[in-house]
Amino acid sequence: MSDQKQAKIKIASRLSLTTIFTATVISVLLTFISITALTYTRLLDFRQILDEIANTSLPNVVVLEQLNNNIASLSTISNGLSNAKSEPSLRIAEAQIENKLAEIHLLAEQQIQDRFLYVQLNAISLELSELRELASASLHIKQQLTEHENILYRLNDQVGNLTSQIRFPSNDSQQEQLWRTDFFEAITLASRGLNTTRLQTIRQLSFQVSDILDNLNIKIDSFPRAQRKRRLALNQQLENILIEKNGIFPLRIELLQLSGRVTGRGNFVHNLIMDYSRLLNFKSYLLSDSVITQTRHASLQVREQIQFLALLVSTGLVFLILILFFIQKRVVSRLVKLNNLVQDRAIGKPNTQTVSGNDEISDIANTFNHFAVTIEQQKQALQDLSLQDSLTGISNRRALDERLEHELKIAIRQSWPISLLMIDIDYFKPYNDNYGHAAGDETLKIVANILATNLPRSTDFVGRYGGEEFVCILPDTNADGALNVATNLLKEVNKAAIEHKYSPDIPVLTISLGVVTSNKNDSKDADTLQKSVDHALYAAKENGRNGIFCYEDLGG
Amino acid sequence: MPVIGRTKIGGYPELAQVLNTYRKQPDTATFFFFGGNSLAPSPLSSLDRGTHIIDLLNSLEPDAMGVTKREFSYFEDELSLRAYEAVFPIVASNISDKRSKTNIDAIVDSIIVEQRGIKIGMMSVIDKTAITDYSLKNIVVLDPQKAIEKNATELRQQGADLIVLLYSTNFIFIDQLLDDKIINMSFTTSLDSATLASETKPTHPNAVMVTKSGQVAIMHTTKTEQQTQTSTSWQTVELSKYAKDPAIRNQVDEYSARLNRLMDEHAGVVTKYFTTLRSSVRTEQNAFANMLTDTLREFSHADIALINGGAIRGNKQYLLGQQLTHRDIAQELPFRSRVALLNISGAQLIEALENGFSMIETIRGRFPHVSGMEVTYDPHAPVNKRVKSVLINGQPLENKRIYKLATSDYLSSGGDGYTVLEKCPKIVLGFMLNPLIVDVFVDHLRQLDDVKPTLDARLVNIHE
Repeated sequence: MSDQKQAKIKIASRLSLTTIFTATVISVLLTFISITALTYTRLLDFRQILDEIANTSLPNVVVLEQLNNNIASLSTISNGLSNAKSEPSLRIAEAQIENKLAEIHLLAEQQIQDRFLYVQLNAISLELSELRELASASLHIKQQLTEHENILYRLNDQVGNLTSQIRFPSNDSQQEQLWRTDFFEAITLASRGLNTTRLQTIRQLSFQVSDILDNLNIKIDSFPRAQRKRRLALNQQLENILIEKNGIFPLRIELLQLSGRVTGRGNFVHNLIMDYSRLLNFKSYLLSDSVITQTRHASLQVREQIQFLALLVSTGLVFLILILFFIQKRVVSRLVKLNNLVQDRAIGKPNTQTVSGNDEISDIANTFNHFAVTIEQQKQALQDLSLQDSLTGISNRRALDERLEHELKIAIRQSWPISLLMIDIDYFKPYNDNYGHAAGDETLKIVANILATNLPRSTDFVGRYGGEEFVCILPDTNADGALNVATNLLKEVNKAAIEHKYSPDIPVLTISLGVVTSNKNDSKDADTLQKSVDHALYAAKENGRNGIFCYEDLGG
Repeated sequence: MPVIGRTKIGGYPELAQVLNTYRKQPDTATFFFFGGNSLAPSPLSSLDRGTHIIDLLNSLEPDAMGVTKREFSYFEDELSLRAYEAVFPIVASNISDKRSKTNIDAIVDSIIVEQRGIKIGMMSVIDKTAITDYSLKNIVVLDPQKAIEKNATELRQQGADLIVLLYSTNFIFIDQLLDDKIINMSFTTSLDSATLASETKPTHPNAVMVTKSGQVAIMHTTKTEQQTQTSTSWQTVELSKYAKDPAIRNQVDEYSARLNRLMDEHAGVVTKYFTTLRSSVRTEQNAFANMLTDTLREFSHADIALINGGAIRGNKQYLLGQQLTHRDIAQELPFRSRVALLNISGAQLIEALENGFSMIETIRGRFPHVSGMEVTYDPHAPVNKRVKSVLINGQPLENKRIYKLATSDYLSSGGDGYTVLEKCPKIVLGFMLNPLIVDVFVDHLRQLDDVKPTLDARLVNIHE
């Protein structure tokens, strides 16, 4: 895959921090807004249900309950109609009923939307007024009957008086007695009729009375004219009072039928009222049933809503936690990682961690890495260009080589001798091993300093040849001069008395020196000179160290 | 001496005319015994529990009235109230009230009525089935034959010249009683006697049977000085052949007007043809009954519902577009049964259904109509083995499981042989008194307005 392509994909799949932060803030806001909005609408719904229960259903139930109570008392009062013993008690009952009915109508108008209940209520009103008429008619007949009864007893008395006042011939007396007996018999039958409740019995009594009445007129046929007239009138009166249209028997029969009807209608009205009450009861049951259902539904809804909101809130919380986790994972931890990376780089630790992803943080990491690498490369380049030994501060091998070439050319041109000293610290490895590299480095610095400060001429040069080896270039110096300088350097190092307990010879640090001199006519080849001085140093080491050996002495 | 026998409900103005005609005859005592069978069911009775019948009879002035089981439609105490409204004696000779150990208040065991020196003793007996058919709790029905013999002896001692017996169920001992002259005449209006096998019908010449409604039986007996009953004959006469008595017609019209006040109220429109014929509601699945049981079940929030076919009395067909009024519903459901709700086990339900199917052959009112279940039955199988399978809401019935059953208080108190329901624990509905089924049904109809009862697979006769 080419870099270009990868870059394109990177751009396409890039999820920038701006996007993340914007999305996070928006989703948090949205979560809270939706939770609040949902809670609010649910609360409104619930309020609506409560309002309906409170404003419609409950008042309906209450009114129906009141209606029911009124209907129940109406039933009690209506009994007063059928049981009324007198016109005033009838009027009282009627007034009570009218009041009650007015109350019921008022209540009914308020709440009842049911037409049939109206129809029934009107029917009850009508029935009650008809019952009142019937009861009144029945009372009227009773009154008439009482009056007739009084007349009957007066007739009875009249007949009794009549017979006791007037004396008759014995013949007449017997006739009179027969008439009187029949007359009294009719009265007796009438009063039996007044006291029986069986209609057929009365009917039969009235037939008997009719027969007696027919006979009464025959029985007085033989009476003297005046007496006959008087008795005929009495007979007529008796007939009128007993069996004529408004007589005791027809009235009694009518009263019985009417009483039966009043009782029946009373019972009927009672039943009608009970039916009405029952219907109200049924309606209020339906209503309260619906209120109960509504309430149950509402409480179920509330429970559901609470559950729903709890779910909503916890989902919201989980969502927020996820967002935080995402930010932690996506931003914070990667920033920490980036910070570690930068600090590691700063103290020169190798690059162990990488920051993955494709956003501003990964951009920063990549840029930083890029700069760090560049800096290291430049540092290396700079180091490569340097002539100074970074440890000891004296010239390095590179400077040494350049100087040697330079000095050799000058020596050839000036035709003067040139000497080289090669110095090596004795038993430096055991020193390093036992005192540590840091101490070793420190000692290298001390030795370099001794060498640099004890060269007699300003034109003399010292450089680090490598490791614990140093080289001095002494221009325009012959063999003797070179030996003097070498001797002095050896002396100075000894004088410094750097402790070296691990040296097999003496417990101080010592050096060995090889010396070579190229006189004015000798070849001036740097390699040859270096090889020669190296031989001399080797000979000095062989010779027991802490000493000087000249190349000339090797016989070369 | 003409004696007017029993009449069916209706035709009161014509009956009055008949009575007027005979009562006017000279030297004749006209006894009028009313056979009963009339206080219920009828739409007006569903409102006034038979009060209007008593009022009409008060105008017709019967000598006495007999009691049949129908007179117990609104139970014992309502019958007592009717007796107090009546200006004639109401007679029931073989009933004992458990509470008073005597006859029902205001009802007499027997009566002697007297006209023109002739004393007739009158008795009336009912059959034991009244107890179960009308779910009567307060009375016991005594052995009819013994009651007749006992009362007859007393009536003779009190000087009865003739003894008349009224009854409404087929009794096998009638001929014997007549032959033995324990009674002198018997009257029955049982329509069932028309369908009875001839050998079980009484054959005595003084055994009077009215087997069609709208008929009156007229019996003539002549008494000579020497002995009673030298000649007796009877005939039935169609009431419709007589003119209407104007006074009674007015009275009937007035009742009709009062009934219309309450009953003409609209209840719904028929949008699907259906019938409530007696032969249908008592032998097979019926759409109207389905609608009734469904309404009952839904109203009570029950699992299942059960109603007996005998609760539906319209015996009519309904045509498309017909307007239903409260009167129609009152005719269909004239009994004041209330909603009852009870817990029933699967096994008990089977027992109840078996009872329902036990008398299909005789077209009895106990035939079951159901809701919330699918019942397969075999009407030809032996009794108590007729239920073949029962599904409750699609699931097989479990014998031990408890179901919530909606029914009528009539069935729940053991009516129509459903004694198993009497043992089931009742569930309170939340009423002082549970509502009348007819109220629940009317309310449902008025909400619906469309009346379109349908048939489905809830009752399946395996032979169809």
